[in-house]
Amino acid sequence: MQLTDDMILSLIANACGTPRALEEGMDLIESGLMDSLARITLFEGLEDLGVELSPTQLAPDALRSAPAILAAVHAAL
Amino acid sequence: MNNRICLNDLVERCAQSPHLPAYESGGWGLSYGQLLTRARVLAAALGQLWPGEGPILLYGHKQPALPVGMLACLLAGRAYVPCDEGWPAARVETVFRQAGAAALLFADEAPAPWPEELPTAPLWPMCEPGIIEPLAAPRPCSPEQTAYILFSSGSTGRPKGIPVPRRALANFARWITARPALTLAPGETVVGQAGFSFDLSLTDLTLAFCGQGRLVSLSREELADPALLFRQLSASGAAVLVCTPTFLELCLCDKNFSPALMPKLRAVFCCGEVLPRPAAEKFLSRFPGAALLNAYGPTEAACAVCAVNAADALATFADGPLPVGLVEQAAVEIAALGPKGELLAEGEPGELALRGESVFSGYLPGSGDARFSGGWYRTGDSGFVKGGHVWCTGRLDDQLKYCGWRIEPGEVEAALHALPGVERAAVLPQRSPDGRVRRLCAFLQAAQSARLPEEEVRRLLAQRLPAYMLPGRLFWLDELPVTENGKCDRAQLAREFLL
Repeated sequence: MQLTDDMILSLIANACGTPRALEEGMDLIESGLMDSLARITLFEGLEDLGVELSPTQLAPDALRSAPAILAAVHAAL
Repeated sequence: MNNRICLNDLVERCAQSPHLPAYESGGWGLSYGQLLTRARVLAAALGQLWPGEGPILLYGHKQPALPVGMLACLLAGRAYVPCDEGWPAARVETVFRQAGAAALLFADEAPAPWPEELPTAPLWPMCEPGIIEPLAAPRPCSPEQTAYILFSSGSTGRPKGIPVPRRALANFARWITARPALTLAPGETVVGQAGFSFDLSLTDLTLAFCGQGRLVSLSREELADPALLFRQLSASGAAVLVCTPTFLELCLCDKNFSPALMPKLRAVFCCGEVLPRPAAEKFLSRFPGAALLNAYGPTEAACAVCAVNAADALATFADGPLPVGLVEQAAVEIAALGPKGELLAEGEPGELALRGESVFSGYLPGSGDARFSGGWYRTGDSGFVKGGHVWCTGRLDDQLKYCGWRIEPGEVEAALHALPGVERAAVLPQRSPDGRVRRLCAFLQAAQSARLPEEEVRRLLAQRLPAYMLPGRLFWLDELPVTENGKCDRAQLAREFLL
């Protein structure tokens, strides 16, 4: 199955528990949407999609927005 | 079980190895000699500056001054009340008054804004050797005397004060240090995740100080930055890790969390929330030589009362949730009770109840009544006992667990109700498919013209509630739905907004 941006965005929304996570300008850290459980859901979901993203290798702001997460995933592919 | 440990023995144990490192956090550390000397100085100063038995608030995060303060209070026969510096000043003041505290001692800075009439002092200069003759010997204390008071979320709208007697702390110390995989040899390291206002931290403190081991307590900065965290985990050379299941799962998200990172790790102690079966399996496959203990216990019974080896549990029970402990090896008696307090048969679901030395005697005045039944403390946790194992399946009331923290929706609702323009408020959890609380959702009834911007709601709430109690989502409604009895219809809210 081809990995698409839509699949990753859907995973981000699911991990954060709301489609608001995908809104332009949404700061996932400041808003509290990217909490510990969201991170676990995101990283495990990416692993299921065949994307290995190591939290320790990510830039500090890599989880701050949906576009930043998309960029990190693209860089890891 | 090691029957010799009592709190005064702890002091003797600390004195046996003055040169060994005792505590480190955020780049600062103390040897046992420094810890004990400073604690004795501070214990003497407490008696001189604030005579009597009033509890002492210890305000900070993980600075080395805090364990000094805790040990000083135990030596001086005073209860300590850990208050995290992440709490808003209004909450700290409420806790101060509810506890009937004599003073607030702070590690870095006093909470601001803080009423001038309430006594404060900095911890560090007050424990400086030379300022006063150190306390020569621990003050004699009754086992029923309060060792510490923890404040959790309260259903009445105010924090709930939970005083834990010295006998309970001593019983916990006897129990936890008798777990073979956890016992530290002098100089060995335990890493602790939890802050001191979360009683999980008692596990790493007790394991370290009873074994003359070294406690590396992870700083806020380390916990927020995975790269920094892994550098610290590696540098610690830890034999034991004490954490919540959520923390363990976060670590496991990174393939670098492995024996190559922590080659000496032989045991992980998890407590505070449900340990998901997949997380246990993942850890044990990643660290095949290490033990993983899944533990259970309410704050009212001194941190933890039972534990089970997760590898044994996975092998014994092929599917379903993991048990949380073994009855035979528990720190107290554990049973499931029915609604009328009757002991339930094997496997029958009911309310988990505890009886024994670790169980407290009741809440602080104004914090509600503890539920005792025939000598059993009724925890409010649902569960059952079967085949010598204990299962905890959830709560019988509204209390929520979020990343190990206890949250009463009623306290959050009271804070929401105090906001300008809010006529009624309800708080519900949004849960993940496995049932865990993902976040709190607040439903607010207010006229259109009176609705505050979301940022303003968050700013005002943050002045009253700690960060982990802040709702992640807000819904403004013209009217909250009500049941036939006139109560908020939470089921309808959940159906309409959270499913």
